[in-house]
Amino acid sequence: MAAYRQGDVVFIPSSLPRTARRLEKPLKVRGETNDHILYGNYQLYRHRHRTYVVVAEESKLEHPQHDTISIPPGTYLVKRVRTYVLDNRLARMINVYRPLID
Amino acid sequence: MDDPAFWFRLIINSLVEWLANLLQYTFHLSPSTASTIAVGTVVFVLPATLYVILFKVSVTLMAHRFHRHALRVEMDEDRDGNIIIKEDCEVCGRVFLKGYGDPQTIKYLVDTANRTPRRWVNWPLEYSMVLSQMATVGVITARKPIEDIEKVLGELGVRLKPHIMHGFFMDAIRFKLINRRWRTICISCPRRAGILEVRAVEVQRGTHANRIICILQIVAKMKPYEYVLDNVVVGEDASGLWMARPHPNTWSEGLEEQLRWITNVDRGDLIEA
Repeated sequence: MAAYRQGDVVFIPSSLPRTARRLEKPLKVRGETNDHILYGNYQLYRHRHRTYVVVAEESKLEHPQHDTISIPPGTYLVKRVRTYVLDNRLARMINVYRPLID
Repeated sequence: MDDPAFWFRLIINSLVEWLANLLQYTFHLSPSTASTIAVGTVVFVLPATLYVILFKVSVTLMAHRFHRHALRVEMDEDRDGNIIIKEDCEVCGRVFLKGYGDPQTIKYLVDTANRTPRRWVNWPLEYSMVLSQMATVGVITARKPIEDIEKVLGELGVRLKPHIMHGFFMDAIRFKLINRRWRTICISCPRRAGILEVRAVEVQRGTHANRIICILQIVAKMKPYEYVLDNVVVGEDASGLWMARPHPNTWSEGLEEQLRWITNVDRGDLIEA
């Protein structure tokens, strides 16, 4: 199965954990300016701060700034793209190399 | 006769008497002047000299039996402007490291910085900051630029604006990418315009639902070697400009590998919009 990305939201094929909690609400992922909304026949689940979506019939992921993506039936883990935070790590290392002036 | 003080006084008196006679007949001094100088020499000058000699000898011979080397790292330039790094012991003068700032040398300095105290001599602040950055991201040798950075930035519709941030122990420079909507995305690194360069090392057009997508790197030049200090993937898709920084482990890899880390999926099976 393929993964699907729309902007900074990624749908990754996954299996649903047994203890996942069922949520009775539509999938709406907050984007930078607008929300990514999934329209169709699907069910949302939550497990350990992770969101899963079980798509029963082909659904449409929509966003005003992106092309609409069709999500085929299956179970997906909903994630965002990630980025490495560098600034905080840099600040910790400053004292080690504090130079001496001769 | 068994009293050590008796022998000590005897030796000192003989020494003073001998030195006074020597001064008196050599420099034609009066007996009182010669004996005063001799007493001063024997009491003050000789012990001080002996102490210094014994101290130096003992430090040279014995110091590293009980103490660690007092490490000193020195930076120098040769005639071609290549940077030479030398590490030696300040006490015994033993040289541990001497050569250009190759990846192995830099990695050694960076890896041992936390547990080995060193004195950084003739080591400009900017290079210290470069080392601190490399301690966080690792020692990654830089690639050659594939396209002119101005051209790539022009295609992205952004301009590069250096912004200097004054910190408590360091100054950092942030290269802000500013587009029409005044959204800024920053790549930060230590300050020093002379040794830093922003490069476009990989550019792809019309792929991944992006009009253009590229890898921008900030490179520190430690002639003859160059190292990556920061690496970001910048693209422009339907929603506008975006930027993400992959993990440093992937900075020496290509665009596909970096995008794989950012999206956390295998790119071959990814459908994008």
